Amino acid sequence: MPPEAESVVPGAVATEFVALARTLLDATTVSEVLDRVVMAARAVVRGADMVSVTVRAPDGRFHTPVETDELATQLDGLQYDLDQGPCVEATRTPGPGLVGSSDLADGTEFPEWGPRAAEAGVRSVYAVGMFPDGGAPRLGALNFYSFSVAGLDDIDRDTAMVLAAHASTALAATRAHSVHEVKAAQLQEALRSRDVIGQAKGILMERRGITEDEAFDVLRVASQSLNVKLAVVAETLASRRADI
Amino acid sequence: MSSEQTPPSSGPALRAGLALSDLDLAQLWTAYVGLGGSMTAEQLSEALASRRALSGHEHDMVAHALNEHFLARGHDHPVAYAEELDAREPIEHDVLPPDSDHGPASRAK
Repeated sequence: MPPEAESVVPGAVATEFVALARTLLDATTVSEVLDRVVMAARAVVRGADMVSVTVRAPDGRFHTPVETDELATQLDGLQYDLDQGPCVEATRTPGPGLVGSSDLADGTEFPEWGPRAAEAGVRSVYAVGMFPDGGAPRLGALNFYSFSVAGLDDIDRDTAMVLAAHASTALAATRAHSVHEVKAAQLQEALRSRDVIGQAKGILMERRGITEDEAFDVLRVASQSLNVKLAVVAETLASRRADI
Repeated sequence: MSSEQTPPSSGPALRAGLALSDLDLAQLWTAYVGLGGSMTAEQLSEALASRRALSGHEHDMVAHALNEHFLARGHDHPVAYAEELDAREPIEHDVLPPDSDHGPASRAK
């Protein structure tokens, strides 16, 4: 091992990102991913006093599923109501998707929401859209609030963007995993149904001396006449074999 | 139900059923397998595209997979079964050329 390698000590931010990557590997739901990202965000974005996540629902409405403080939820909600503010804009902004203000009180960037946020004690803010390379509208945004004017510096903004990229990747993987699980469950149910139908066909073939295709047709016609699923007809037949 | 091949309107009937449902091909294949079907997803895709002829039994399994989906949404078996297809004229673009052994011209002889 080269001598200089022994003396390498990662910085606090790098250590936090490594820890985050490890915990994200274990996250199996969207909620777990967001929880861990928000906790890490609070640790690595030094100027952030509050952190929250905005998520866009399939119907286009926004909500805040995870936050570090109740005030962050209230300020997010005010943005959704006014349809104005960094979280909302970040989901609509192409490119890096970084939107913010160094002094909310002057209302330059957000004329209505900015001064009201400043009254609540928040003086600067940045939001980063998730899925940085994706087109608008994005899935949501990571939101960073500071109680100080210009409280979030260049390093904080860069760190926020890296964090959003981590979150996006983890969310994409979690969603893909969920889709895979649903497909696996559907296939498992199909195989169970196939097994029951096979049993019912066997009973009909034995009792009536008919072919497998003809047995399926008997079940299919019964299903059509009764307006119940063929698997239900088959299950009834198989479970009441002695009565029939 | 029949082990004989279905007429050319089989593919369009199943294709229309899939288009009117909110199923994708993979979901239809899963439902079809659940009824005991043994075609691969690729073979099912070929049947829907009228590139693979189905027996009446195979057609009925796919049609029933679609109809069970529609039944759950309050529709009464809109996809034709094989015995209902037999009485129908093939859709024009699926009619085989007149000089084909199985085309309309040969059937008229």
